[in-house]
Amino acid sequence: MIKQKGMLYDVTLCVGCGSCYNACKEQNKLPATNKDYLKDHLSDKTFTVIEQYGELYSRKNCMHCKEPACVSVCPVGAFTKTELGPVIYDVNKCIGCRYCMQACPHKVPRYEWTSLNPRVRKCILCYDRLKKGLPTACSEACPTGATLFGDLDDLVIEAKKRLKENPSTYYQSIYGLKDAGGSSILVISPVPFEQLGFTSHLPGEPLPKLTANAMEKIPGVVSVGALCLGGLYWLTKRKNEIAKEERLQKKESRSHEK
Amino acid sequence: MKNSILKFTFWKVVAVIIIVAGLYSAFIRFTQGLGASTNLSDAFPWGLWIGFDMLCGVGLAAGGFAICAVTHIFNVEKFKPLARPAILTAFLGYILAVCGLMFDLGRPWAIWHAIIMWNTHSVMFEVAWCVMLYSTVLFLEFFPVVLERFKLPKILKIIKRVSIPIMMLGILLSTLHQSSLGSLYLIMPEKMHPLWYSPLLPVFFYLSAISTGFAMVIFEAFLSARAYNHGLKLNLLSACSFISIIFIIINFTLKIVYLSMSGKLQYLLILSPVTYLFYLEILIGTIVPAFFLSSRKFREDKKYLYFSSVFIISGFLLNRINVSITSLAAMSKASYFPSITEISVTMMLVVIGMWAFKLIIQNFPVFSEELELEKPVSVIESISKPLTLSE
Amino acid sequence: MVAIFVLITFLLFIAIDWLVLKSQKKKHPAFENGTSIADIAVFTKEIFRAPLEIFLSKGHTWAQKNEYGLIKIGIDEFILKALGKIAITKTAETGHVVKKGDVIFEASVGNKTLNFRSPVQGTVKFINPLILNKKINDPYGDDWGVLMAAENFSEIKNSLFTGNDIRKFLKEEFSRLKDFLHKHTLRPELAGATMFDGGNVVEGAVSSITAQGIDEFEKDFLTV
Repeated sequence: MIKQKGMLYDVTLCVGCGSCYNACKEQNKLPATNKDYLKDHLSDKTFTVIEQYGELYSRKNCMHCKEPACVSVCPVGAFTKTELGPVIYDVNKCIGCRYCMQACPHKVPRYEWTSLNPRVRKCILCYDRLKKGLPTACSEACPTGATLFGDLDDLVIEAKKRLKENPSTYYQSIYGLKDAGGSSILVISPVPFEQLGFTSHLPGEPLPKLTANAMEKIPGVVSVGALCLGGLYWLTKRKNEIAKEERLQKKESRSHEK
Repeated sequence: MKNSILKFTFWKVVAVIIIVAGLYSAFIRFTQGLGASTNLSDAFPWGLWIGFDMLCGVGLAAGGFAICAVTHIFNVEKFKPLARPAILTAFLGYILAVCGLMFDLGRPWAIWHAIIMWNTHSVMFEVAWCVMLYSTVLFLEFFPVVLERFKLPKILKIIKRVSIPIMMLGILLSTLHQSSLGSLYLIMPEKMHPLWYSPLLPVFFYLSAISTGFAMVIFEAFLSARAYNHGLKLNLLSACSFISIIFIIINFTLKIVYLSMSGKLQYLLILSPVTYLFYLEILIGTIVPAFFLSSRKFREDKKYLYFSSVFIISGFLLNRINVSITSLAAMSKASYFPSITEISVTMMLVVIGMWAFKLIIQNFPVFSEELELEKPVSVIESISKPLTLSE
Repeated sequence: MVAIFVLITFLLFIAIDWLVLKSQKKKHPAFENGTSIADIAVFTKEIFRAPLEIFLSKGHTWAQKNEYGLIKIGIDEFILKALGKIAITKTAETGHVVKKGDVIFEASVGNKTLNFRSPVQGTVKFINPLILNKKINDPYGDDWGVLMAAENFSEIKNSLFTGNDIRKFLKEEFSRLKDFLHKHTLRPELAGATMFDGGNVVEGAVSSITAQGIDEFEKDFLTV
C-alpha cells in the first residue's frame, strides 16, 4: 500500500530564511515576483510564502486536504486528490469557473487573471518528485528542519510527540489534523493559529460533507417529486372531469324536474 | 409600433448606447482577459456576472416553471394565457444566463467539458446539467408556438402528446437547480456572513425563486401592457401575487426559525452596514409586499399589485447579491465593486433579452392561447336530453 | 454595496421609464383609471370553438335540433367576447310565430338595446327559464334562449353555417370587428394599437364605443 506523504511545518524552528520560497520558485519554474520574499503573497506565480508576525514566521501554501473542497466542487473534475497525498490540477479539463477558489477554506488557489488562457495555480506538493520517491523541493531546501517531509502517519506522531515533550513551547493543537477534515500539511506553533494568519474555527468535518448532505437528498426529491407531480396531475385532472360530469348530471336532473 | 425602425424613441437610443458599450466591453474581455476587464481578484473570484447574471437571472426566470406547474400539473386552466409569455421569458432568461457565464468562465471554449467530464459530487456539475436540460425543455415547451406560426400541425400533435411529461421534467429540473444555486454556497460556511449562511440555503433559494417567478409574471404583464397595450388579466395577476406572497411568508418564517434555532439572532443586533442590508432585504422583499398583498383590496388594485411586484423583485435581487457578494465581502475583508466592463456586459445582456422578447412576440403567437387542434368540443349534447315541456 | 447598486439601477430604470411616459403624456398601465384596458381580458381564439351540431346564422344566433325535433336557439360566443358579458332582457313570447330575421332576443348594452334575430322560422314553444337577466356564461350550453317548433328547418338550415364554415365565418367576423372597432371606438388604444400590433381585440371592446356605434354594430353584425 502506498503511504500518504505530507509535511510538518514547525513555526518554532522557522527562521524565515526564504530557502523554501526560492526552491519552490525554481522547482515550478516561476518568475520572480517580489524583491523581498517576506512581503510577497500567494499568487499565480508564487505557490508558497513566508509571512512575518513579529518574531514569528508563518509559511503558507496549499494544505492538501484529505477531502478537499476544490476536488469536490469542480464540475469537470479538474482537481484530483492523489493517493500519495498531493491535490493536483489538470488544466485540460478546467473550464475556468473558479468555484475551487471560492470554495477553498484556506483561500489557496490562485488564478492567472491576466492570461487569455488562464489556469488555476497552486502548490501541488511537488507531485512529480514524490512519484520518483523524492521529497518536496521546499523541505529539501529547509536548513533548520522547520519543514519536515515524510509519511503523513509518522508526521502526526512526531507532531504529537513535540507538543507533549514541550508543552510550554507549543500551543497545544495541531493545525491540519482535524481542521476541515484534516490535511496533508500539519502546522504546530507557539501561538494560536489565527494569530499567524491561518483560518481558525474551520469545521472539524470535511467541507464537502456539507454539500453532500444536500446532494444526497436529490434522488429522494426527484422520485418523490415525480410521484407527487404525477399524482397531483392525475388528481386535479380527475377533479375537473368529475366537476364536469356533475354539471352534466345537474343539468339532466334539472331538466327531469321540469 | 411597426412604423419604422429608424424612428428614434428614448429607450431605443438608450438600448443602442448600452449595446455598443456592451460590445466594446465584450471586446476588452475577450482580448485582454478577465484581469483587465473585471474587478475580480483571487480574494473575490465571483462577482457581478455570477451574482447577478447567473443567480438573479435564473431566479427571475422561475416564472416559467411556476406557471407551468399551475396550468399543467394543477390543471388550473384559467392561468393558461400567462404560460406562454412566462415560458418565453424563462427561455430567454436561461439563454442569457448562459451567455453571461461565457463571459465569466476563464476558459469558455471548454464549457462542453461538463457534458463528458463528470464529477457527480459537484453542485456546479448538477446545476450545469439541469440548466442544459431545462433549457432544452423550455425550448420544447415553447416549440408549439413556433409550429403554430409555421402551421405544422402534425409535429405539433406529437409534441402535445409528450407535453405533460416534458412539463413535469421541467418542474423537477427547475426544483433541482433553483435550489442547487443555493447549495453552491453550502461549502463555504466560514467564508459567509452568518446571517446568510444556512444549511437551508437551497430551500430558501427554491422558495424565493417561486415567489419571484410569480412576481416576475406580474411585472412582465405590466411591462408588455405598457409597451404593446396587451390587456392585463388582472384577476390572474392578483392570483399570482397571492401565491407569491404565500411563498414569501413561508420563506421568511423558515428563515426566522432557522436564525433563532441556530442562535444567530444576536447578529441582528450588531449594527453594521451588513446588518442593515439584511434588514433592507427583509423590509423590501417581505414586509412591504406582505403588507400590501395580504389585503384583497390592495391585491386587486393595479397600482399596488405593480408596486408589490417591484418590491418582491427588488427584495429578491438584494437577497441574491447579498448571499453572493455582501456576505462574502463582509467576512473576507476583501472589497469588490464591479467594473464598468462587468456592468455594461450585464446591461447589454438584459437589453438583448428584452429586444429578443419583443421580436419574438411580434412574430409568434405568444399572447394567444393554445390553438385547439382537437375537433370542436361538443357542449351541446348535455342539453339534448329528454325535456318535458310545460305546455 | 453591490447589492445597493443593483437595486438602485433596477429602480432607476423603472423611474426613468415613468418619466419618459410622463413626458409623452401617457400613463403607465399601473396608473390608468378604472375601466381601462387593464381590467378587460383579451379576446382569444376560443371564440372559434363552436359545437359540431349547431347551425349558425349571419346574425350570430345559433340553432340546433334536439331529438324531439324542436330547435334550440341561442347567441354565440363571438358576441360575448365583443360586447362583454351581456344578459338577455327579453325573448319572443311562447306561442308567437317568428319568421327568420324577426327579433327573437333583446339585450341591453349600457343604455342601448340590441336586437338579435331569429335564424329560423317557427313557433316559440319554450323559454329557458334561467336565461332572462342573467349574464351569459355558457352560450352553447346552459345559457340557450328558446326552443322553437320550426318550419322547413331542413331547408332553412342550408342557409346557415355549419362545422368548419362556422370557424371560417367567425374568423372573417373577427377581422370585420377589428375594422369596425377602429372606426367607432372612442379609445383607439383599445382597438387600434393592439390590432396593428398583430394582436387581439380586447374582450368587451365594443362596450366602449359610442351609443351610435351600438346601432351600427347591430346593423353590421346582427342582421340575418
